[in-house]
Amino acid sequence: MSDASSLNLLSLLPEMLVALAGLLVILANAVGRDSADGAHRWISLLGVLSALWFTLNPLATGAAMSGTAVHDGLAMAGNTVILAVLLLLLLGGESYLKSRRIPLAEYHSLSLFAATGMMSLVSAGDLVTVFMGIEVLSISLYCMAALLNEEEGGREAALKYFLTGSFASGFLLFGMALVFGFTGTTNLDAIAHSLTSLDTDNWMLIGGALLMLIGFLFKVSVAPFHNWAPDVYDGSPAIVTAFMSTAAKAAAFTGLARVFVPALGEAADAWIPMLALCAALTMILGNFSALVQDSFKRMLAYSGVAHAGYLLLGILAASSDSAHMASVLFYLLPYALINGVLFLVGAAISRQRSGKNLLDDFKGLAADSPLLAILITVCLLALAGIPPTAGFVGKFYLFMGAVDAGHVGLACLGILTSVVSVYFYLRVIVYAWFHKAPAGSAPWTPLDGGLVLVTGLSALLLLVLGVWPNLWLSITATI
Amino acid sequence: MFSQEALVFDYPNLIPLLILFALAGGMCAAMLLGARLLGPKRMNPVKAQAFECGMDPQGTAREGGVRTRFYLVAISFIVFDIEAIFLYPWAVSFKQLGSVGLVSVLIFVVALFIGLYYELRKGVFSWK
Repeated sequence: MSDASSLNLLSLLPEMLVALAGLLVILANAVGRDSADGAHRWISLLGVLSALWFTLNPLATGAAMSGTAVHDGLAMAGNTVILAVLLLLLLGGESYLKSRRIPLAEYHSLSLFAATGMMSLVSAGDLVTVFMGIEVLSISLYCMAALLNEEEGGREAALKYFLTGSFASGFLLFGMALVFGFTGTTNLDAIAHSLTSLDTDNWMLIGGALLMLIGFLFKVSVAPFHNWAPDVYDGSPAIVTAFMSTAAKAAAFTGLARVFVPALGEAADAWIPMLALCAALTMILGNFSALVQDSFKRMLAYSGVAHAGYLLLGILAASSDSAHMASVLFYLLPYALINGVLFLVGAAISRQRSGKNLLDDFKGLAADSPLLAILITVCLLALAGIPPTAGFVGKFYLFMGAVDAGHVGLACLGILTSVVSVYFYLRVIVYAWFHKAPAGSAPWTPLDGGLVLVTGLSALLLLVLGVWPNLWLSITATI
Repeated sequence: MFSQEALVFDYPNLIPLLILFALAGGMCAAMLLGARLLGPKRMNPVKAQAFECGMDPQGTAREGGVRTRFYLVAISFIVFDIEAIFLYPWAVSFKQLGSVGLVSVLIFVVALFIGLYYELRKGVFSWK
């Protein structure tokens, strides 16, 4: 076990760089005075950029740490999504952090530690690594949700997230214990190998797989385990919501795919019915609940629940043909970018009006700032899945995969509920372009230039990916 | 790694244990149930009061609660308790793990030290 050649530490370089940056931020905060605020940002930026560079140009790949971590195409795609979100929030979130007086060092170090957990999760080669990754990311996010604990909603969000999240971890751990009891190993490859020779019609394996599935579905907010999401997303600071609804979800989905598709693929009969049922329920509940929301953040939260349902279709397709994994990974990037941009820009717009993240805050936006109105429109159209945005291409691949795998009914349900979703996305666009700002609202002050620039570039990327999907698909398809 | 056969228990040997559980549980249930069904219930304000060493209770439970400082110290204690748990197996197999083990443990300890230093600078240990 102590054989240095089996460590392959170089392949873990991105994780190590991000964790190191997190430690340095803490150290800089402890050593320096309060004027060292800029340092936190520069250290984080340097860590994230170098990690992104070594993710896309890895010095080494393959199994590391005696097989407990695996750096393959799946890990590369997952890491890229996580780091892209982190970069977006670092570049665009400064004005939000300052205006809400969020402690900068704590925010930056916690987000870097959460990213370390997410990256360990997406490159996990062992159930223990999966659990460790989930816990590191969850515990960091519990703290981040509580960064604005002076506010009533903030405390509620943090406590709800903590209680439901740790409850879900219990399910996950018990499921892992049962799977370990049945197969005698926690290594994902070894589990897949041992299932080929064992009888998979066993209560221990089926129970273990289902309990693990419940744990994962909690984390990715799939109905009927989604009830925490709207309250937590609504009560947390917008920048934290932007982080946990995108990067954490992308990481949990990649982890779900890694555990269930290759490792428990032989036992697919046990978990596919439950996954299909949850996908159907999620798409229906998510989209119809979003219809009646009047808070922008809650609307996006339910839309995120609905999108978790679409992504489950990709997992279902991948369980019959692993080539469809690329469609899940493809959609994660546009989904993460859109939501990151919408939460950040939505919070900035709302601050100019009611400050309560209401849908009404978007009324008359086009008159005040046509550029922002265009930005919001592109993002919402991408969420609705309208060409030529990347949202359309992503949904197309997901539904096509579901049809290929024989889940035609689910694909139809997905398309029908997408039609429902167009209503609440378009409502914001209509408010922005065709309604007048409420009387007596304060004069418009231009938003922070960095925020507009980086979110504008993200929206541009959505359009580019919609026309030229191979740019990102070529990375996700190398699994 | 152990095989599946290792998990097959010798069930008959566990039966006395089950009987013990049943007896213990049954006795508790019988006592609670018996007291509930047979016992007289005469409530008065003094009886319903919280008992505080014979003194009249005053104020709410929120006042004079445990200070947050105690939690911070408790958390620090757990962190270094767990550090010790990780260091023991390393110390026992120090020779076999060699330089790789030494470097790993050093990284681990330095990471914890940074956390401790942060706590120190934030005033967790300055009790006034």
